[in-house]
Amino acid sequence: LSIEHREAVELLEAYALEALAPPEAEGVRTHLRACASCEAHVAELSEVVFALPEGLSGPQPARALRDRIMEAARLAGPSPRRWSLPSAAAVRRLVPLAAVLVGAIALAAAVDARRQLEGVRGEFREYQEIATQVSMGGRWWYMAGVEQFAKSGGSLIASGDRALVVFHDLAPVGAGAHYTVWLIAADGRWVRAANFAPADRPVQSVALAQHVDDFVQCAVTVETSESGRRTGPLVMQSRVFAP
Amino acid sequence: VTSTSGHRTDEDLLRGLAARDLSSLGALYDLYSRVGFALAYRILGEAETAEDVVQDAFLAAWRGAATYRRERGSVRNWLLSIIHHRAVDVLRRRTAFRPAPLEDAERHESEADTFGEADRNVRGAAVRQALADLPDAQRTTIELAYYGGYTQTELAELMGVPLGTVKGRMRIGLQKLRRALEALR
Repeated sequence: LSIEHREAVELLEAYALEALAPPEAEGVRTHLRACASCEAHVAELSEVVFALPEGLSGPQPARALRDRIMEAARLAGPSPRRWSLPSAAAVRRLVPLAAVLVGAIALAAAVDARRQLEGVRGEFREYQEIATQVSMGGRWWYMAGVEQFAKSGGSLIASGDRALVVFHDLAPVGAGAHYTVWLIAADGRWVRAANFAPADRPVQSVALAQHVDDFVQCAVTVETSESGRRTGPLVMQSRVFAP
Repeated sequence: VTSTSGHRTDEDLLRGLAARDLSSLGALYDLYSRVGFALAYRILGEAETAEDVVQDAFLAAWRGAATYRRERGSVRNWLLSIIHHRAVDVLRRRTAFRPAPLEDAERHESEADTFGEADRNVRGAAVRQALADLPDAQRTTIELAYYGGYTQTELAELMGVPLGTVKGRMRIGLQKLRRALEALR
């Protein structure tokens, strides 16, 4: 898709303001790759456009946002090209659990505890591995807890045919209830992807049996049945649609 | 525009991101999260989704730092471009929702806490003044395009004017803003 120079010149202001329909924007982008003068003009216009937010006033982002972003980046692993040890924060989070497990090993002969510890290590390696793949081209959605679940959250990370959700600060649910992870299609259809009980620890990962490629959002509810339509209250939902 | 954090330039910080250095991500966040959040909030009118958009953009930068090309603009503009694109995408997907009229948006802002820094910021004051000095039609066209997520064709329909008029208002309005802001460079 390409457009003539005269037509492109007419569209440069709207292009800089990101006010073109996708096909027109793509036409301008193609033209810019071959036209130095238009490219230079767009650069000047963009400087003006990107100065506009400087004049805005409004609320500040929550302090917790920085921590949220740093934690999500930490989960992506320190290097996409080499195996690495868990981060310091992740280790700190695992320390209480590890201490409990080590204590259990010492006090109670340990076979189950050792198995649990291996399970935790395996789980951590699994989401490290997927997160590393995501850093090279997978998908990543954050879900923020709502209302009474506001402290909870989860990051769905997926690459290829593997997907899991790493939750933090999940609250206990009542007897007979469990959490359900849903994938939401562009047409609004909700598809159940996993049922799970909250573990009593700060971070918990849940593998999904469902491919996520055909979906644009994800959510978690509290349910009492293992199948069927959503009936329970919303716990968290991603708000930014997957690109 | 190239800012520095300590002795590190934006490009240094981007190289840090590409090398998976979390302190570089933190420094970049400290530099640009406020203006990025202000942009997302202005577009979406709602703090929680604006925070998600900012998170999404910084993580996109974290994952895609190696794809940044200096010749295509500053790191700040690259980040703002990601934030703007994601925020407008969220806005356009709210099929039953369009941003409140500008008067309502201004009233909403005035009820919220303000950035102390923004009010003291000479550049911010200059931008506000430059926008205020534009004729209403040019200012409204630019604000609805950039903050409202409208395409130029939608704007022509919304404002009941020919497409050529919308283009002309954008062109002249941006020219005036450019002249007004040149003194700040």
